[in-house]
Amino acid sequence: MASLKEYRDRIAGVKSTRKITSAMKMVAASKLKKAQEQAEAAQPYAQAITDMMARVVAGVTIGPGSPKLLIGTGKDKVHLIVLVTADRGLCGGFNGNAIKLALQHIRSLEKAGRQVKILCIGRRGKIVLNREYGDRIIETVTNISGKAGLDYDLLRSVVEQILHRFDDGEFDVCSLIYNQFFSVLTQRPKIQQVIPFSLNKFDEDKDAEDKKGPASKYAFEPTEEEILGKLLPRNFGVQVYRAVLDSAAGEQAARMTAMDNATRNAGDMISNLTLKYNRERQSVITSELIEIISGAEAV
Amino acid sequence: MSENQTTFQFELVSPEKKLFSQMVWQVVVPGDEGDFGVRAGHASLVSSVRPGIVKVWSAPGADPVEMFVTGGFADVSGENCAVLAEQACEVTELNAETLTQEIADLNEKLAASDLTAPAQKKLRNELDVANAKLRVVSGNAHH
Repeated sequence: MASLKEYRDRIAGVKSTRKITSAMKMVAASKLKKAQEQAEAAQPYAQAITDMMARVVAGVTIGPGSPKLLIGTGKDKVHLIVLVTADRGLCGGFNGNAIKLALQHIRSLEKAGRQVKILCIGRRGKIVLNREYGDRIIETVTNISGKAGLDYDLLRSVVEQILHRFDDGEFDVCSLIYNQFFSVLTQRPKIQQVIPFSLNKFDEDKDAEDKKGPASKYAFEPTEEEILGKLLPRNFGVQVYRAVLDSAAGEQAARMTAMDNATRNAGDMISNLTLKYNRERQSVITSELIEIISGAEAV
Repeated sequence: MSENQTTFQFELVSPEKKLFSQMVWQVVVPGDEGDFGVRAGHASLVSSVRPGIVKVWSAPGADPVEMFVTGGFADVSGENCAVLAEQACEVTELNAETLTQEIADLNEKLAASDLTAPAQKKLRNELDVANAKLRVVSGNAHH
């Protein structure tokens, strides 16, 4: 049995923990609102560029001269994995889920004899992957979403860097792994291949259009190739941008939920401890009384 | 719905936000190969956009709304037209004096020797944008 003082100290300790977790929950909630707004604001652009990509790609004849971002390098040897996680922990299974998916992906790729390179956006992913795959990490970017929301310039330089590496032939396939934001309660980790641009989705549309005949042939200004050459890197940037925004909103949502649970658990713990404390106090009083009474009887 | 034949949906979006979305009568877009006008029923067209001004008329004879874009793409199809700008703002927000000041400040910062390469690049980009804006503003004054 713990002494009364020990109980008091523990109750005080849990109370201050609860204060911290509830403060963190509040902060996460307000940050979530901002992050969600930012993610929603980016939606129309992402949608528009996706639509445009679909239409342009459907009209383009694919040949050996097509941009590499569209058709790939013709090889499937080196994979670049861009893992988007949070910089900080204390957000439930948020980082863990994405990292677990990344680890699975890396293992299956290496088993199939592919070479893997990793680029981490967010500190948590790096910390975990560093243990096992430290030599595969080519770059780590942190502090991408700071106080003022997302750091566009930093993100832009990351995108440029990845494209540059692709041009230099450092990798053949690039996939993003990030937490997709569905709602405040659900974020699911997702793998999305971004280089080469996955055509599969649009092949069906193309077939449908072919049957209908050239109903809406697009004119390109300046030329198809030039447009595609500009559009593809832009589209890649938007995909990365969307992933980071989703992840930023998801992080805050996950933290809010985790901290809400922690606050509730702390409340339960406090009432449990208080109950035990009172019981202990009463038994101390009882035993003191017994001592006094039995002392008096003995006289 | 006779109105639908003369107006169409126009959208101006940048990665940060949607700036403009409504039914309009005519739009003039600064394409890479020259300005082009779009009205309802325009042939499908995909064009890249140079830095400049997008002009939007909501009705014939109305005063155009002018918006500055720093390049991007225009996507025109039968019923709608979308301009995907890298950055965009209303022309009325631009001011020649503040822009000149901004350019001077940026040049001063660039002159500092202790800059890292990415910081320098960032400043250069800002400078390019500011210069393009200034060109637009001073170009307007001459007209």
